[in-house]
Amino acid sequence: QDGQPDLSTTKRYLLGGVTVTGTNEFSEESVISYSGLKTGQEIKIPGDKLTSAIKKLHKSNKFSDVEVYATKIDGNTIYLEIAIKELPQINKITFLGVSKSKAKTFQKDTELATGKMLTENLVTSTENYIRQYYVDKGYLKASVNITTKPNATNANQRDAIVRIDKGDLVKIKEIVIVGNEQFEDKDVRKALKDTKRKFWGRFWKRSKYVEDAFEEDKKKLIDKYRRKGFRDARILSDSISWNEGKNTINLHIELEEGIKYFYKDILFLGNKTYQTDFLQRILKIEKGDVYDSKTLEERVKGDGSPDSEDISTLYQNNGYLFSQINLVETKVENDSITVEIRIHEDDPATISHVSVTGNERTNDHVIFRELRTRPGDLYSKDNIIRSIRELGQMGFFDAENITPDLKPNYADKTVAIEYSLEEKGSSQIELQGGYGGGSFIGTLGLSFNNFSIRNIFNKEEYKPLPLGDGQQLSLRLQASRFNTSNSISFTEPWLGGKKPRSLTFSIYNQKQYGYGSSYYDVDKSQELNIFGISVGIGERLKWPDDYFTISNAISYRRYKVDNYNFGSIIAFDDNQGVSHNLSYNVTLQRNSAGPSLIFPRYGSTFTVEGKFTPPYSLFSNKEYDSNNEKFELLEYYKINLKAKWYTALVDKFVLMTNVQFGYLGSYNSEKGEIPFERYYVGGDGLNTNSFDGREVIGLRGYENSSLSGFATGTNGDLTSGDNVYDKFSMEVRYPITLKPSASIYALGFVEAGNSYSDFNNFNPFDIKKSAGFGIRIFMPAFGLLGIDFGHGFDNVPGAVEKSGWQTHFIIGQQF
Amino acid sequence: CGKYNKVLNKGTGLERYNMANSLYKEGDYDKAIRLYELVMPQYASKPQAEVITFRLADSNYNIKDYLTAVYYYEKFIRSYPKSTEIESGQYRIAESYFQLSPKYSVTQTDTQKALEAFQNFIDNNPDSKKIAEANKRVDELNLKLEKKAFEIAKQYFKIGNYKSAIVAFDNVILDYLGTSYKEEAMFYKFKSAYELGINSVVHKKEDRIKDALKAYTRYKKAFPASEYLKEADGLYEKLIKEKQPKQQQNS
Repeated sequence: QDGQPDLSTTKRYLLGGVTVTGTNEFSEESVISYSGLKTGQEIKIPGDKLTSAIKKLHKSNKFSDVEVYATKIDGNTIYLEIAIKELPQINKITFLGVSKSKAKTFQKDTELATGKMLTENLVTSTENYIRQYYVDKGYLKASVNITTKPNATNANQRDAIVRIDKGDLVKIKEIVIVGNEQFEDKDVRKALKDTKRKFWGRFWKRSKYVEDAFEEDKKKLIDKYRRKGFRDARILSDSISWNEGKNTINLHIELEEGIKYFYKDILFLGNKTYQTDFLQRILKIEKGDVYDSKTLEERVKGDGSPDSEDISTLYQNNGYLFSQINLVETKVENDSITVEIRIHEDDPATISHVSVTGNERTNDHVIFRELRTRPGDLYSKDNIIRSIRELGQMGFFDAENITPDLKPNYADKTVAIEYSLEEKGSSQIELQGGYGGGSFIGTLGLSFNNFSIRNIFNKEEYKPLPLGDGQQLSLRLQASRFNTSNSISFTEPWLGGKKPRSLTFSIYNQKQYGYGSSYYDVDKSQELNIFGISVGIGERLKWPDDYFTISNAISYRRYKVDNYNFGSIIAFDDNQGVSHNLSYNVTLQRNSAGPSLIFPRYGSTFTVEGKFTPPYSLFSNKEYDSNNEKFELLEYYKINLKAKWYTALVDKFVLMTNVQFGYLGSYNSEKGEIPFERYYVGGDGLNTNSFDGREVIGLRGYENSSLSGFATGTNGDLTSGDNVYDKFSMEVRYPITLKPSASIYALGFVEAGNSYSDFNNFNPFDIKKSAGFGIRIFMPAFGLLGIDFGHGFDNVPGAVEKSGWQTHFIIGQQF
Repeated sequence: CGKYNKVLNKGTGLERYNMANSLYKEGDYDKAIRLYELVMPQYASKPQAEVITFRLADSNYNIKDYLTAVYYYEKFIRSYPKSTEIESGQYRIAESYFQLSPKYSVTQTDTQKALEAFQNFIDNNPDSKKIAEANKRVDELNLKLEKKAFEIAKQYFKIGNYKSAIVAFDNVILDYLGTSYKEEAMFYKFKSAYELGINSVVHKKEDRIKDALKAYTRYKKAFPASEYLKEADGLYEKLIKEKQPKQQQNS
């Protein structure tokens, strides 16, 4: 062309304009903007800017061909033309050989999408991604092939066809091990945790071959050797061979075990803060012990668990964030090894800043008062773990997703800690309507666990409700033809905001009517009315340790019985009377379970609860002529003990062990037993029809309350509940999912318990046993729901046959 | 309304586009958004796309769907870097985040984004008429962050964790130079140091009282006319008294 610049020398031009040819889908403007060239800029030809413009266009992965011409040179001004060839776009994508839903997920997980530019790279990476997906699932023969053809309507578009043939599932037939003398073949195979032989009874563990899992397993195998002193053990080779005609493979592993080593000496270097003796005691390894490099590493650097006892954790818990500990084998003589533990303590780090992000609803003050890492404190790993637990226990945040971010500043020996949180729903709504007991029954239950009472008149805070101050407010209204029950309760966990002292207030009113002439008739002349009010103060204790809380409450209940027979043998004369129940309750609790309320994996909960009424009869020498006089002022004391332990088992299994015991006693035998507050054991443990203030204790495998107080009265069978009970259970839980939207776990249990009329009859070996399994679903909006199938091995009082299978529906309660 | 539904369901691209424009001008943003979103793919690489993107952003801003507005403003700025509306787009992004920024006591991610966006606007448009307004917004947002830090520090004071309170009040003063909470922060720092000193265990008492006195001196020097000075003076007297007997014993 005329005026083509002389390319042998570099010359500066002013860019007069850029035109684009060859566009199809793209506008001229966007191509220019991709190139980074601007009219009016100064440009050297040949030069960097032009080269980089071409590079940028290539890099955009949208063009297959890019060329730049000079169209005109006018003195110092140059006009350029960018000639491009657009890559074809993908129009239709068809998946063959997989289900629609699978195709959808592949399309989501890969870059292959309508409108994308079709590049070689995209095709190969998509093929690889899908093939790898199947290989990871044990389909070693999977093949994926993507072909494209021109689109019928648009010349610059192509349709992609993804052909997937996942092939057969490949299983492992044999694992051949060579070179093992210390361990038998079966022990070696056992160490390969996720790589197993095909075996007819194996339905728990897969027997497919997954490369990544096998790599991990090989490491585990070597660890197994290292734990026994075989420091040099290694895998010389491993290979796969295909069994002809079958979808099985054999794995071959060749081992070299080496010799067994022992410790000659263990030396500590560089420790100033802690004496060698002290560190030695944490290490728990002596001279002459088998050289177990795995355990040595765990005792020095930690085993990854939150309560690991090791030297590194010791330093990390006491401010030494910058400490470094190295293990060095200094001397190897025959079969003995000298190890040096080299410690660089550095200076302890102080916390400079603590911050929180992600609290979209919950106010800062609710969070910061629970954090155990505070500015000015020494850094401590343990305190961070405790803080995470406290945050998780609040129930406002996704406990599985609390991450602390440490920003250490080595220069001034400080660290800033930022906790990132994710809010989850903490309000529950229960709205039920149904037909039960021959009449309509309706329930409205609202519970807000993160309420903000001070904003109750602040319109702006209604999004949709005033939340974020960590207060609990629950309301429950229930009505049917036979009963009405209304309650409201409120808890402020930090009264006044200065100390973790909680205030709880609740008030409730229940009315129950009797049956008329037929089962379906309500007779309002028969009425039991319970009114109650209670106020309590709870406090966290620092001693014996800071997992303890104590709470004190005063509660008053009035039972008004009007021509009402509530089915107890201990009853008012003529079913008519009033009873006042004023009691003082004290509860001491230690709760270290965590990390979440829904699915604890570690820790324990112990509760001791005492309930006492004033001993009225001690102050008056009144003689009681009738039950009504005895019951007017209720007199009793009650002791409840509950203990739960959570232990992590293998994999994600957790064992929950539960022991509980309760005793209801009287100060004065003259005054005797009371008709209220009694224990009823058996069933799902739900407190649904507790019109007499009874305490319902679940025991699966038996019908509700069936184990307590069977007695025959004048009007036929009556229950009266009992004064003593015990219960023991062991439950293995396995989490299916622990997402904030829904936590689901399966469980299997064995439990046993019974109730006894008084302490003289109490016999912890006379218990009713059961076993079963079930599932729990926790959804933030609905609370806990579940179903259990329990088999009772013993007979309930009055029955001759064993209880057998029972189904229990669980709503809002945890065993 | 009938006409709208007809165009919405069966109209051609041009009809929809024209109607969207007139609805936009009338201020019926909800309806305009539906139509613009419908015609957008059709006009993707045509000159009209510039108007569509900007008006979509604008309409969403007007119906207070700020997150969507930010999305379209950002898309607009990326696609049409030479448009004359870039300046107003940048301002609107910042203003959207400003509107999203919540009360001080919850997470301030959007406040940070608003600050970044206003800074970006100020850097790119140093001669804009809106600079003064932007700076006012920046001050307002910073004040919110300062209040947050100050209230957290004050909570440490309230729950009796004086050591942490001192560090946290220092952080307020150092992290937010020139903060309007400086006076209060210095006063509360002194008050925390006072509490720490007065209630200290014996072997740390002397040092802690000394620290508290230092905090008093600094505070008084920085704010000689502070409204809390009277209370501070009272505490100062108590500290001096607490210090005295010890010195007498020593001498």
